[in-house]
Amino acid sequence: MSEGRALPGEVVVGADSHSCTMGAFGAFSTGVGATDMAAIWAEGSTWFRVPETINIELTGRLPACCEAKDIVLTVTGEIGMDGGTYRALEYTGDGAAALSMAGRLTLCNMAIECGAKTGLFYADKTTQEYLAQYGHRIERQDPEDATYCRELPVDLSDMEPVLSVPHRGYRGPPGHRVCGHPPLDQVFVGTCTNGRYEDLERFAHIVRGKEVACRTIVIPASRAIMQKAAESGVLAEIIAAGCMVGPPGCGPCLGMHMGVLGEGEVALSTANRNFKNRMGVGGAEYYLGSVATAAASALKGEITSPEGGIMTLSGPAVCIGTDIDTDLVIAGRYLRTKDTSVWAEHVFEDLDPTLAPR
Amino acid sequence: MSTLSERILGGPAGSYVDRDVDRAFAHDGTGGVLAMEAYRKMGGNPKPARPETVSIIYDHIAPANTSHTASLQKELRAFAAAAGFVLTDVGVASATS
Repeated sequence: MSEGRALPGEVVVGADSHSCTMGAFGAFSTGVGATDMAAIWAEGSTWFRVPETINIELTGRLPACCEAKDIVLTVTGEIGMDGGTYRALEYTGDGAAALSMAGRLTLCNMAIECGAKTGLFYADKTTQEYLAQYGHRIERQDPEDATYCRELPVDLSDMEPVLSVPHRGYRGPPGHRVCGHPPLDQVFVGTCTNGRYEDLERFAHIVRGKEVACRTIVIPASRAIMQKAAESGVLAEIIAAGCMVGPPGCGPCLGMHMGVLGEGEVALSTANRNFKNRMGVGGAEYYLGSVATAAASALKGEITSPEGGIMTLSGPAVCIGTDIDTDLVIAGRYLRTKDTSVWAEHVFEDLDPTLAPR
Repeated sequence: MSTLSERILGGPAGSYVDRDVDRAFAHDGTGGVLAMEAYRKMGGNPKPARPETVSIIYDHIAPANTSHTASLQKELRAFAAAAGFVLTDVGVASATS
């Protein structure tokens, strides 16, 4: 789809929730249900409610250890899993303009993960150059002084590598860190989020000449990407590092084949969703992270940041209710001590005993 | 002054608009199992309004993992050909249009 099949200004629909990816080209692109799709086949048209828009203004430059995936995990955590429901996310600012097309596709791909109707970038010089490869000459789209329902400024220079934790993506407290380095059964690099050539190249650059320490599956998003990676030597480096390369497409992401997890297995994936029972049933757990995080973790066989450290979780504070009294925050039976680390073990226990362990 | 969505869809936020669809994508899962069946029930019988705008991409379970999946994919291939859709099959380069 991202190989010259959607253009700026177009109305694009897909019978898949991640159809919002094509917004990276300045199209209005969104997912529809299969029956809506059948009606669109029949009629050639459909109706929309025009969404309100959240302006995500990206400024500054990403640190070398971070990539677009870290931006989108952070933004999704900030907005919340339903905080963008039926809104469009517009990415603007000098930080957006500096992103490659691969990075823009990653950001728009995950718009749906906060409930958004779509994500969009304004077509600019990067878009023109990218689409020219596929024989398209397109006009730039210049932003206007529009009315947004929310302004969300993001300073990319503050970014750090982040993880989304099993099973409901974006619920970790902000800045909370994964304790230690959880061991991994599998690493999976690919999907419509992070299966593009730049992703494979970045992965290969990190694992080049080394050997992965756990089962690692790499799946190019398309045949064209696979061919380019084969011709450039990127695939050979990935295979030499002990990874298995699968045929292009979605891979195990949706839990159907080619690397689905077994009961209780733990994985790190570059995909966009880690809902329970998706990429593996029976308590399989999978974290989501960037390609660099996946590469560093594959080499160690455990979750490791690209710089070898512990990882930060994405996500805002967990909303567990609006009618909360102090006894619900910490029950009186634990107030015999002033040791706040003891309180931390029991916080909100009477509401949700699983919260503190998480 | 408009957001990009307002500009493309041609109406202010909150309004309802009817729009021609420039591109419609479906895959081997939604396209084969669900949309094709729904289309038949609607009485469509391969006569889509603008088949040149429709693409079917095999990526979700491709190549097929079971005979059942393979049979569905075979059926969708025939349906897409009769309807005049662009089909990106296993091993086929992404078409540019």
